[in-house]
Amino acid sequence: MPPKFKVGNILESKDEVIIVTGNGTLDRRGHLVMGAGSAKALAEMYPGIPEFFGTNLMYHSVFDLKNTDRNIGDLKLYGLLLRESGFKTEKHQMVGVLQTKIHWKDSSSLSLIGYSLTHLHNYMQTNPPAVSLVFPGIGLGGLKRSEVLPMLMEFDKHLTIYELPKTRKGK
Amino acid sequence: MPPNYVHGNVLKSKAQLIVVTTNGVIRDGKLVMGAGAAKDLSERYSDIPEKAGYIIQTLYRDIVYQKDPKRSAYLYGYVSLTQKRRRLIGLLQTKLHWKDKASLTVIGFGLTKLRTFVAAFDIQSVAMNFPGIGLGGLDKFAVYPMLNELDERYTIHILEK
Repeated sequence: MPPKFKVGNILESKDEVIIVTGNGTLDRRGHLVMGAGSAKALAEMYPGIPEFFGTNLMYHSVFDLKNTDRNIGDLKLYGLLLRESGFKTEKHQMVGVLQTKIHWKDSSSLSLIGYSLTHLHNYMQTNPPAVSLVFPGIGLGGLKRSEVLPMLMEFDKHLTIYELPKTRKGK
Repeated sequence: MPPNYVHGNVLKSKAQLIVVTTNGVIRDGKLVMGAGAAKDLSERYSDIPEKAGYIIQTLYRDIVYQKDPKRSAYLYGYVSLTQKRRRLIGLLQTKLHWKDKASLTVIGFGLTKLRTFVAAFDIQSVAMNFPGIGLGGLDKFAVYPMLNELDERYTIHILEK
């Protein structure tokens, strides 16, 4: 069974795991930049979450990337913030971030989405929970839906992919 | 600038880094390299399957269990090896088990690690075979958008049948 697709707001999902898309940019305070899209909506719901993820990125195994932008702190390659680095809500849901780009100003990268989805695939291999994921890379990421879709079709029915009405109609 | 696409055998390239596609199965301590570009590479450098098997088992201890346990394999994405005369060889994983079809997410995983390696060590030229098509069974138009994210340092070799 292929994954399920839903049009709507992922933050209203009742699944055990909710994953929004994000970048690999830490600001000068060491907080993960979550200033747009589903990441922004999540940060507005839980204001401490950029600091929580930023701190986790300092301590968990990730690649540090070369940074020439003085306006930001660090650039990280992590793929997926979940497992021990996920955020637990008061509704006992686990919230994570799937990386689609490095700098927040970049367009999303298909290979980076593949990198991050491979981590998610591994997470879901044994005792898969019900996972809700934002359709990665489209919308603000600038990728075509048709380019990302084949990677998502490698998942099964335990994954539900959320799209906003405007991106569903797009490219 | 996008990568270059050429017809021909990647092993004849003079690039600083030669990358061939591989799977994640290790048998008797050796990476299985029994078909395609990986087979050609192992015939040229007979020590590579054992060397790669050792590195992958040492660095990537976790086996990925698939629904069919017989198809469980290692997930490493990309590893580099140095051969005689400082020849730099890269192995890009396109699938878990050698019997599987190639996976776009695994190719993305490997390409991200390859790009990180090339940037960190300032590699100036990379030659690689087109990943996932041929024995991998993917349509080349599904893989193209991902390859087009690479830059002009990369040359993708397509084998003429």
